Amino acid sequence: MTDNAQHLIDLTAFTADHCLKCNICTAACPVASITPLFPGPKTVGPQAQRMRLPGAPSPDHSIDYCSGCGICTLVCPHGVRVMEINTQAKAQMTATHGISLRNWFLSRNERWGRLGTPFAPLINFGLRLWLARWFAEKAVKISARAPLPRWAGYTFRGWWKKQVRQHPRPAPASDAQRVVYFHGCSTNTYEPHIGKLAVAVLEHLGLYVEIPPQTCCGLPAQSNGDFKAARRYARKNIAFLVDYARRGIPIVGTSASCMTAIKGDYQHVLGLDDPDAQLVAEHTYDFMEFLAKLHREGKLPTDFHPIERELPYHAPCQLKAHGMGRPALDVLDLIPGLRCWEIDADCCGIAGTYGFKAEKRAIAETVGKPIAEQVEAASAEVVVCDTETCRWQITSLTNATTIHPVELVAQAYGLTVDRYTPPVTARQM
Amino acid sequence: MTKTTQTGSDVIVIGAGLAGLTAAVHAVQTGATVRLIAQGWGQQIVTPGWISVCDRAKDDVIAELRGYAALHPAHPYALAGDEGMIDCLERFRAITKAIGVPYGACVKAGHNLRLTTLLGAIQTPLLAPASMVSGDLTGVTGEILLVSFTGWRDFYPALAASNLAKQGITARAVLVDAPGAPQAWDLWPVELARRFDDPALRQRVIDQLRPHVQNAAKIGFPAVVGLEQHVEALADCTQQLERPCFEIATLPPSVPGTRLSNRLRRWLLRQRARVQIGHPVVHGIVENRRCVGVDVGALGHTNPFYADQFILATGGLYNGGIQSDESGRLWEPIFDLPVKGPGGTGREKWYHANLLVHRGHAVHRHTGLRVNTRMQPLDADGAPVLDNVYAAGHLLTGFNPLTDGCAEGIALATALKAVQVALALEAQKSY
Repeated sequence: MTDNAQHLIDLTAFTADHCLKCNICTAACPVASITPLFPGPKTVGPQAQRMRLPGAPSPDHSIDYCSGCGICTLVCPHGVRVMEINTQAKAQMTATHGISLRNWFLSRNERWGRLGTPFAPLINFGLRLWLARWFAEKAVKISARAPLPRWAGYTFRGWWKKQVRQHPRPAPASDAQRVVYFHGCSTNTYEPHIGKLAVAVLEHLGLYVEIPPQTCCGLPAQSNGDFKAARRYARKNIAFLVDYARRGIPIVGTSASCMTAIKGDYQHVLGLDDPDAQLVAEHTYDFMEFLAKLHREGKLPTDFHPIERELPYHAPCQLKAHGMGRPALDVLDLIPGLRCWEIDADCCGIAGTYGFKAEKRAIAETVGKPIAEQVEAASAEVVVCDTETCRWQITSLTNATTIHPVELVAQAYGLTVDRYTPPVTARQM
Repeated sequence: MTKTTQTGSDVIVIGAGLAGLTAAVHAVQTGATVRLIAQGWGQQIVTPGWISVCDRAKDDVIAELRGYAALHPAHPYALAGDEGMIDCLERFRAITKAIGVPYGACVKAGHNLRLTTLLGAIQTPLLAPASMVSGDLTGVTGEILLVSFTGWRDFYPALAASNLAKQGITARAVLVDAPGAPQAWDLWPVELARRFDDPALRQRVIDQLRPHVQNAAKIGFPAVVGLEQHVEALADCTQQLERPCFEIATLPPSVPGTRLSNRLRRWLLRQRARVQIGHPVVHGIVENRRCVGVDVGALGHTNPFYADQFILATGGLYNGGIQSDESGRLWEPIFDLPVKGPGGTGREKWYHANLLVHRGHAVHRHTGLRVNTRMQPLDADGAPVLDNVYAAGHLLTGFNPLTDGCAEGIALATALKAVQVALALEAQKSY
């Protein structure tokens, strides 16, 4: 087969030709089996794909009920990129009919995070008012039950700038000691402690952390079908990161879903199939994946303080899409006393912005039920999870405290940061 | 208990079909650290969910199989050894009972079950989910009531009843409204099964059925009676309708296969094994005839995973474990192991004048990996290619999964044997 023909077959839309209609994806879809509004990934994906012409209106509007969790792509034994096909069809629908005000709003979380920071106390107070949430549900169709983050009141980037100013660091001898940290929007404005802990761990490993300018990964816009905005975000990030990738400097991020976008979606969903996008993808790692890689190479110190706990772990659907296994579990297994086990669940239901939408909230809650049941059965008070919206969703479904695995790693290394109380503590030796 | 070490896990199992999943279970049960990696779910989700061991056996299945294996030394059953056959079936029944999807067998010990299909044909697996076993037609004399949903495209019980009548079995058809759905036409079995989990929706079906039960000896439902709560759901039907209720295998997706896969995955995760479904192993990392790791095709870059032993259970020609192209070339994509084919040049031996040729097409019978009694893939001279890679399931040559009626039996037997050899549990035995 010529390279050209192979390239054509590898294109997302053409993977539909590998579909045998076996329905394994239908059996696995967490949404289709609980709502008649979504006929299932095969029906709206590879099956409807045969009716779709590039640029022509999409024939099936039920695709709006696809959460984009991507379980269909994972369970397909034939390599059909079902979720990617569906997301592209969703974009076609948005391009034809326009984007709703609510979806536009959810797609630009980066902006609200930034603009809201100075008014954090006011917003945090306002958003906890029943009346405000009721109004938001009625007026903009954002569910009153959806788990909203709290604004931290300061940004991670602001903290970092001050940090660098106050503690100038000697430049490293070689690029091999450098690492780029991609914090994502949530860490920047809602959960800066995760970024601070990530930096602390990377520096503890003797690495020189660089935090170049960056913007939203584009995933919220992408999953709402706004490919124009998503590509704009993607191109900006590629431009910010490509020089580091060219120098072989790893780019690591603590939000597993942002990293999915940079590693895979830019090419397979948004179609940015240029050498720069590929180069950035090749050098991008999920934070825990990066630690697991260092460990494989014998470069991860394992002088961890013991953490005597048994904790459930949820692997977000977007983390599963990486194909990197469960690096968080592999690394956390190195901490003495700590026994983490994976909750058996495809998706927590939130799927980025899906579970925030009023008409989809009940679906999102039902999808997440197996997590709540298993956490409850284990009487667990803390759940470990690598992605922010999943953590918020799990907290809302279970009342458990949810933490990023970096919080455990930092604890076990004995690292602390300001304005942060560790929910799980290590035994000091 | 699974934990990472510098060298990785004890065992990596590649494939999430029946062979891969049960291999992972056996390995975990012996205390090994296990990582299961698969491109997608295996074929148990598109097959009925029962265990065919030797479908054509009229009486003692194991005796028939022993006789067959003695005559065909290259058959996977002969290679795996018949003592392992009984062992693997007992182990399968034990694990399925433990995870809440119990499997059962015919009341006539050692005999095949006689189960109806949605068309009223009779199939003869050795083991089946307990929900199907209660529909065993062995020695049945009374009338069978067959239930489907008005407008549902997947099951026309009147057709099944008339076909069963031709085989001397009295059956009657009844249609009821699907639980909680006015439009049943487009419903998938899994969707229906979730509705049967809900006691209120289930009750509506039971209430509709009550006047139709009459003299029925047994009541057959399509296999959609519950997904998570299926044991309770079927017991509820049986108790309220006062007749044994049973399930009949449906078109894909298979609810019994989904239940089995889901519960096995949950069990493996709770034992802290890793289950990584979604990305293919693209390449084996081999040093001096030993596999040290596998590369998984992932977003951005491949990811290596290391282990001491490797169980290859990626399936046959239909499942991606063996690839082919238009020239008739056949290859095994991960280790490039030698693949036995039907022979000839091109694809001329793949075809036959008859679509349904007796004993199947040559490409199905012959295509696969040749292995020794240690389940090690062999080269042309009959020597093992790699020291620590073992193959199991559909990937093997020497049987025809489509016509021999033994696909699941081979998956279970060869998976157990592969794990026993890989973990040196049979060290005392000679080969």
